[in-house]
Amino acid sequence: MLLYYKLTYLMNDLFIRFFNPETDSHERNLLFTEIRKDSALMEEFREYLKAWSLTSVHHLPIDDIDLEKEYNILASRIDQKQSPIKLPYEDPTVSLRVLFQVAAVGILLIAMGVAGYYYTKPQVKQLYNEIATKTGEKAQITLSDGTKIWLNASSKLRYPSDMSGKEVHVYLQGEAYFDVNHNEKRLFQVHASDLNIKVLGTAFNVKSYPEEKIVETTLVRGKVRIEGKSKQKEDYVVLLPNQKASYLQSNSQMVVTESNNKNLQRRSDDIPQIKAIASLKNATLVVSNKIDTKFDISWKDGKLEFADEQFITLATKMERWFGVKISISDQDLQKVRYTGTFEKETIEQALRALSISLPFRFSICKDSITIEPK
Amino acid sequence: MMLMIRKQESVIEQLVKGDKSTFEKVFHEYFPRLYRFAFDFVKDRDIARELTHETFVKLWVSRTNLDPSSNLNALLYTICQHQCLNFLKHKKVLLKFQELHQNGLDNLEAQSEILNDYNFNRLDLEHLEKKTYQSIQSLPEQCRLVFELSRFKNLKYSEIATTLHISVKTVEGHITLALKKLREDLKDFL
Repeated sequence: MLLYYKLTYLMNDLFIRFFNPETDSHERNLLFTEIRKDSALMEEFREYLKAWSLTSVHHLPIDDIDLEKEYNILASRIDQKQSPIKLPYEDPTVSLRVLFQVAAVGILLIAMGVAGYYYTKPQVKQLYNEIATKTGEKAQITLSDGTKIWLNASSKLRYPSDMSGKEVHVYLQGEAYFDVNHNEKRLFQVHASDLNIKVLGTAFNVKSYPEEKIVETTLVRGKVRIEGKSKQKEDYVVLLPNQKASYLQSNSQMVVTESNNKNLQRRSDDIPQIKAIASLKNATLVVSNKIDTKFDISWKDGKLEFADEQFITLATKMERWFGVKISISDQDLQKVRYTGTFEKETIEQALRALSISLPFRFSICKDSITIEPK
Repeated sequence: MMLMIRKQESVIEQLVKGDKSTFEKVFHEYFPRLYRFAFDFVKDRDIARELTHETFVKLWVSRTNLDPSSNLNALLYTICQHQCLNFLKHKKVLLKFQELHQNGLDNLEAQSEILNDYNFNRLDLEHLEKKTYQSIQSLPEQCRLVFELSRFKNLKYSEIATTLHISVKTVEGHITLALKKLREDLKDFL
């Protein structure tokens, strides 16, 4: 540990910022100019940059690029390069290919027509109910098939009034806990942001507030399959109990985290599937004892639990929980970390409790709360 | 991968003959690496993608002139290096034309210098790949994870911090440690 801190201390702060994708080109230019002022520093930086770029040889795949698709683009580009002067109609092989394409489209259209006929024929227009909560509110509903749904604050859920169909689609904005009644003949699907979560009988939590740009799915029991909207075959992850999938909307990355809480013993036949997740193209599996999925779901039992959470993110949760607006302008205060539980406390009691470990001043004016350093 | 390396001579021979399926295999194997390499210097996904494509177009177009004894690794990296250098040169001209501040121009110059410094014909890429893999594998678990998310998934420090429930400072610490280790382990290649 000592060695670790020593190394951290020795690395130049300019370098570390250079390698962060958050740093924009203007700032990167300024950093570069700063580094170049000192030739020894520049030499050191050159080595880091080179080491970094040499790791490009690593065999790991890239996630945001579909190699099959890229190859098809390249192949058609190469074909064009080979016959730059020839026009399509002068080349018999091309026109034959076009003919095939036209034929293929024709067959596809006929197939679609037939399929469309069968699909649309028995369909009855589905009626939807909508339930919405304001900040500080929570709601619980039981659907006609026994499925229970808890809706957290500032959330909206659309669900069909008729649950007898082969597919049930519900649409979520915000946070909800689902306890879905087991029914093998039916597909229960939750749509949240860019994701579709396919469910058999299971209990899980979905958090998808539009302002947070991250969709979190936490599984309590059973199994869910989370699919991206891209409709590509490999664009999914299967989640097992005690795992959480975090989907970052900014770059469509999925990270699966798992707490290695020993109390939750996994069935032995589940183990191969953990490996399957880890090797999936679009997901990284992280096992960590720092993660405890119970914190993601205690809200439904009327508890606001948090562990090692920065004040700024805790404040967002408190805003929804208590139905208030909280502003913390001080950067150091924003980063203070808290662990604890609120159950029946009022907002004032809660803030007072938080200010014990690190004193801060707060003023409450109607629904707005301002927090300042003491 | 190992299979590919052992057969490398015949891979070039197959390319000379115009074997499309070999070309496709080469594409699948090298696209991610070359894309990553290009991205490091041009810092733009679309441009990196375009330059990598252009690299493979060049390989295919010049396939009949390939020397069967040459090294495919070195060849592809060298083509890609020149694609990037050309792009940086082009960008320099644009910057000069727009008479933007000197900073950007100087830095492009320095970037080009670093890029120009690589000599892939002398670089043993198979050995480098092994070393890189070993070096990353030897990092402490959390540190390796943070580095891989940053380097290979291109996540921002703040995004890594959110997903792993750690602070940005801790992320920076891990990246620092990983970079130091890599610089040490890859010393022969720098």
